[in-house]
Amino acid sequence: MTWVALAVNILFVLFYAPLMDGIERQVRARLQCRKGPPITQTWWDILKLLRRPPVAPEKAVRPIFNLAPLVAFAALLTAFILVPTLLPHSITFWGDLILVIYLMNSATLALVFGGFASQNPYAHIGADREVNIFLVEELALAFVIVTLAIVNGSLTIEKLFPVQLKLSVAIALIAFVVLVYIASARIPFDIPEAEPEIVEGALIEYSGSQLAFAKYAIYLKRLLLFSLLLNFVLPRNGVVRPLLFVIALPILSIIYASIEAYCGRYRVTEAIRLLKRISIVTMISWVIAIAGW
Amino acid sequence: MNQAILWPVYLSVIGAVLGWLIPRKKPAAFIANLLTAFASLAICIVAYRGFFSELHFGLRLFNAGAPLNLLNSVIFHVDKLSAVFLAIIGVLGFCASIYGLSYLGHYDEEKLALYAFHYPLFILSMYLVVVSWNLIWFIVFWELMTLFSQFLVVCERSERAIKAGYKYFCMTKAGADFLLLAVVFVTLKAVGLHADYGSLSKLLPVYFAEHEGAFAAITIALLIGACVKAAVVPLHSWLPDAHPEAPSNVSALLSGVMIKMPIYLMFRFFLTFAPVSATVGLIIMVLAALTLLFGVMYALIQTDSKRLLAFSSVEQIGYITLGLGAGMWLIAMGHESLGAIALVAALFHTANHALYKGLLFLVAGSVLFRTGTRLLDRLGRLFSKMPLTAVAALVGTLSIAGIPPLNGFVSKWMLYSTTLMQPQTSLFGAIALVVSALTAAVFVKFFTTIFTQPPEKELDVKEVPFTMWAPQMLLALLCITFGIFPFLSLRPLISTVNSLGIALSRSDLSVYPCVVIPGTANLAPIVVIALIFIITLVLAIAIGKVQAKPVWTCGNRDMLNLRLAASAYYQRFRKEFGFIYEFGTAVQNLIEGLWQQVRLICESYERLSYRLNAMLTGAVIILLLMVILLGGKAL
Amino acid sequence: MVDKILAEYGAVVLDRNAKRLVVQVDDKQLRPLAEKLFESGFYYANGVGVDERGLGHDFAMYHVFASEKDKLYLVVKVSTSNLKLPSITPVIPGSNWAEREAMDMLGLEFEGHPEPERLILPDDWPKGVYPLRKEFDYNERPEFVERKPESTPQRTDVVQLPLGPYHPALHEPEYFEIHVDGEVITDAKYRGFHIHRGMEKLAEGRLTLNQVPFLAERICGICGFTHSIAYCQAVADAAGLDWPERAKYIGVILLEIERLHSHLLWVGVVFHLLGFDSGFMHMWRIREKVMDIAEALTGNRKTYGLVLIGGMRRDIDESRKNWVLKTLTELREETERVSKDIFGMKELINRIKGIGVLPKEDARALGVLGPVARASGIDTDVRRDHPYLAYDKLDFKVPVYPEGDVLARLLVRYDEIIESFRLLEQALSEMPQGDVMIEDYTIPSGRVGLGATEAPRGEDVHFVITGVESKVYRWHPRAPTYNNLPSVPIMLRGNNIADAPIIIASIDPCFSCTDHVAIVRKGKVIWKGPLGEGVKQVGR
Repeated sequence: MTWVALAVNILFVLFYAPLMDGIERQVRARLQCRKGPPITQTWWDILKLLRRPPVAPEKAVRPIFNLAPLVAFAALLTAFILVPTLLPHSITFWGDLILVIYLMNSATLALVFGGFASQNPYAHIGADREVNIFLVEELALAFVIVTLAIVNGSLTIEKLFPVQLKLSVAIALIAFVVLVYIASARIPFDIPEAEPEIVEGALIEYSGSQLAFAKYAIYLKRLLLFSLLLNFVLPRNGVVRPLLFVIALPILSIIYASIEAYCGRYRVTEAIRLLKRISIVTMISWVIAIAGW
Repeated sequence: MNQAILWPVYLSVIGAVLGWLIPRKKPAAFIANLLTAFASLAICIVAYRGFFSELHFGLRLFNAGAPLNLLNSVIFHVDKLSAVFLAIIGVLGFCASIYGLSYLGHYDEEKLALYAFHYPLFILSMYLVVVSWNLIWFIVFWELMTLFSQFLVVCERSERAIKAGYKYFCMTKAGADFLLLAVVFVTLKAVGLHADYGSLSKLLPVYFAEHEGAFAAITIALLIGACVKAAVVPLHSWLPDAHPEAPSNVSALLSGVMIKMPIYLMFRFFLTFAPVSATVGLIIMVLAALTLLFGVMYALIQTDSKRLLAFSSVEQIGYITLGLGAGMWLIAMGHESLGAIALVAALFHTANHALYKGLLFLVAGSVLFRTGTRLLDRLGRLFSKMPLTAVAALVGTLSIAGIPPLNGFVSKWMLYSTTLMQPQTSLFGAIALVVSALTAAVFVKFFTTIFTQPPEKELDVKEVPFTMWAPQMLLALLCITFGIFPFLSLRPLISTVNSLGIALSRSDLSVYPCVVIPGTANLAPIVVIALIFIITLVLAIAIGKVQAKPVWTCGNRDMLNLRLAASAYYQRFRKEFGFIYEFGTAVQNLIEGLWQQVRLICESYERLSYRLNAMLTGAVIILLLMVILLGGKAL
Repeated sequence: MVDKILAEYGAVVLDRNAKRLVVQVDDKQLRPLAEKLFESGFYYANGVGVDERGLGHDFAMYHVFASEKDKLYLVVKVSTSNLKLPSITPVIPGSNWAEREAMDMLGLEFEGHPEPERLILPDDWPKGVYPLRKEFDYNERPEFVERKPESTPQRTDVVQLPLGPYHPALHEPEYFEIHVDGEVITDAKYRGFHIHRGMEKLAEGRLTLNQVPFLAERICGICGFTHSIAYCQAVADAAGLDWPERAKYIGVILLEIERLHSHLLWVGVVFHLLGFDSGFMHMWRIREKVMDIAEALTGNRKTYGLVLIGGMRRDIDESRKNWVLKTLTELREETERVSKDIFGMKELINRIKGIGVLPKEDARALGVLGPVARASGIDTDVRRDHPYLAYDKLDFKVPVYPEGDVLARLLVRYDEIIESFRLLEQALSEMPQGDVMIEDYTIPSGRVGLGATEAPRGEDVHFVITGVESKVYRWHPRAPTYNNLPSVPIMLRGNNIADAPIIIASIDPCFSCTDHVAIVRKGKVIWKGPLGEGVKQVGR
């Protein structure tokens, strides 16, 4: 039963991740008084890219450059074996929250390595920015994890999904909502991929099917972050869960995409400063958690 | 079979003597390395045996009266704890020695004179520190270890090396003096001239239970001594200078093994000789957190490959001591099983750090060997030129960065799983989490500047010889193996912790097939690697061949420097968190200022001493004053 | 005042009228004269090298200086028989490019020039071939020479980031080599003229005087109309023509429409570069209506093909005028509403505040023009200082901000948008009746003419020497970006790499936007027409 449910989950994730981007594009288009592409557009884009042959720079470090997007994709897909999505089933004894976070970090680092292997100066700057933000993000995230761990006394997926709601957890989750926004590299935090400045950053040299997987990995990461967020609050069992999940995902998309439509891009420094402030919020949640609330 | 303890001694002594006697120093160094490799293998055998049965070997040196009796009997003993550290010495010693066979070829004859003699003795002294079963002899070997390693640090005889060696020797000697004080105190006051560990572990806890002041004093002395040698943060400043200056295989040993000796000492002392104390655990944790933070932040700004690795060693010692401190604290507070897991994590991380830091130093050595530079900005795109070294470096990088499921991740994961559960230790766990990300950033920089970024100018080098890449590969393989199959090392480590008298049952931590701390955390490294590997492989096959085109630089074909300088990495982050560096600089200035003052006082005292008359007059006046005062009091 | 200076340096007045003065000086007196002029408030407006052998003289260099204070354009001519002339770049940095252009195109040598390197001709152009000399045919193709790779000494402390020639943030091929230390720009180098189209040669070689306006407006895809007006002003100046009043008003109307659409487009691009695509979309939505107005008035979405030497080719009828007035009112309200929302976004404004600062002194020395100059505190506007068309009869303000950063440039352009609305309303309602074109005129040959207009991006200066058989002997247009671009490296220094595109864009480089939409369904073009209609079509 678990295995079937898991297969359903994985298929759902693979199908929905690009679709989610399509929905967000549509939302943004509407807010900009545009008609916008159909919500299946991201899927068509990916399918189109998959048919194109990939090209690597001549002097790139080929093994790393070629494998990086695939590893990122694989790491994120692996994370979905642990994090339940549509159906509340997952192989919980294979890993815990720390592993999920680290798989996500691995995907980020894989793309960073890919960027550095590409020999393109824009990719270097993009990868460098990616790490800059990743570091402060981790500072904020660490205290979210600590808060959840203290309150629930565990890091396992059974005990954390859903979490016990206390004051500290609530604050940590609010900070996590912001972190989800930042970690999914939306405007104003799409600094590592800023198109007008550094031309998609670390992804600049990727093309064809490799680009498709790099993009797919980014969509998967967004969906993973949403799923984590929803799992923290949605009930784990019951028939309503898949329903709630399916309703909540587009709602999150709409909220996040609307915010995205009304922001300009930050500089790295501004993003770091904001993340520092969020870290302080998460630290406060940790202090409250220690106090036992 | 207990004679086996002596094999490494014989082999390395022969190595040292031959290294000294053979007039041409290149073959001398070769033979010394070879014999040390065999000695290391023998150490591995001793360690292996030691896991199953305790080895014991006693030796009476001479007959003498009571005060010298302490030194009389040399007792070598291998129990499980020593076996763990012996295994580390053995494996890394073997790899470093084999590596040295070719590596030292590029040194001048005269520079090798010091090396050939001291290298075998350095390994030997570390071995003896661990197998010694007597506190007095322990301190003797400890001092010898410092001495021999100091000669290896200065072996290049450059001004920088000599300064670094001097600093290293002075600082660690001063630290060792604290240890000596503690040892003398223990042997004279506490246990009445019994210095072997057996009686110490019986007598000391009883004594400490009665004399809390003595315990505090000895603990402080011991902590200072151990922290200096382990380069725990306020006392670490010798390490980043000394480690890079030594030949790379020695750097690997210094960072991989030698700074673990104080960890051994702390395990031995705080867990078997003394009652497990929460306060001490807390102190160690605080020091560990400082070490983690400053070590990694300073590693972030380095532009010299070996110096970067040295700072990272400081940081990694933080993880190990964090595990130790957390373990002690948790056990003392009654969370026996979590504490025991933290101790296992500390031991595991010790071994892991030895593997990947040894590996990374060897890699840095290989790059130095071929390109002649340690400066990250002079290197670049060596992946295609030195593929084996690069792959080994990638494994080391991913391990130390804690990428699942390599060994670094597993031990860090165990640390998080234990420290995050208790509110009081959770701050340290959070710091460890953050530092882990920073470590990843440090090693992204290390790897990419050397192996992937476009070089300043094309480097025409080839892969290092077999004897150099083979040890690297061996260590890389061990990193992967211990990551995928953590039970291989966790099982012996659990029994080690059990042998220290700390109960850790299978229901608290099961390690096969997955690592599970029931109800708290779980991890299945094999599944993770298998899934990632399979998905990647399938996709890679599906994608197939990738065409090559010139890199896109906006249509421009000029020769430009497209390289991100090592000093430019993470500039914004470092600027936003610059207060850490400011604090570090302020402390440095403070210490330097204090040192200047002390020197001034000493100098003026020295000048005064030349003026004999004044000195005598002064002394007489002081004596008179004292007599009057004392006399007045007596009256 | 000017006369005193000129007399001091022995300048001979060749021609003068109220707006411009043509003098000739001895080449030894040139540099001190230029220095004196610069000190007394003149800036360097244009520099034209002329092969005057066809007029019976030698080679000559015409330096054009302009002063807001004296409301005067001063054309200083120096002749040379041996191709050698003193350089005035050491005293007026703004003349740097003009002199290098004359070096490239005519083979003049400027003694004392700080960087006598190629500016316009590509690296594979052979040495010793000068395209603007009269013996060089307009359709001649020289053999290209092998291009030597540049062997500049490599630097290791900075990344030499190529920004261009083909970069998504630049809509024209320009090349900036940006030296980046981490995220901070330490230095920048510019190399341009990748798409030099040889228009001057073409005009001299095969077009008649009345054909040149159609070429001139194709200099730029955004501010084309102002170029054709400037050209016609120059020829009219040379021939002493005066347009009918109604034509002058129509000219003003079309120029202001051009300014409106150009500024709206620019504001949109700025938002896009800041990653704020919603702002971009809304600005362009508003701009779309300006294009509709242009279409109603000229039959073209861009104000193209409307001007000849004698005046306007098309009149504006009453019904169109009323419709335009109505649309303008709506447009103005909408612009103000959207802008108010956007200027209320603090993060966005903070992003452009204090970046890309151009100090006033540098701006003056380089002869920076238009909104860039006004944002650096230089109170200059051709419309007010050297009035042309009907601007002297209309009321408008010239916004000046002293900060010199990108925000100031945005505010200047925003204020100009509002002023343009006012100007349009005034011009449309005050427009007198009458002819729009004079037909009978003769144009004497060998006369120097100068026309200047305030394009959306600054002062356009067109320099014309009329030729025989109703041809131009020499035509040299100078677009504002020519003077503004050299200031970009100064603006870039010390800023963040993240701000580089926005700083480059802040001088408003332009790109063509005259496309129509075609709706393609199942591989077939089923509809072609204006964008606004097209959107409605898709919606059906």
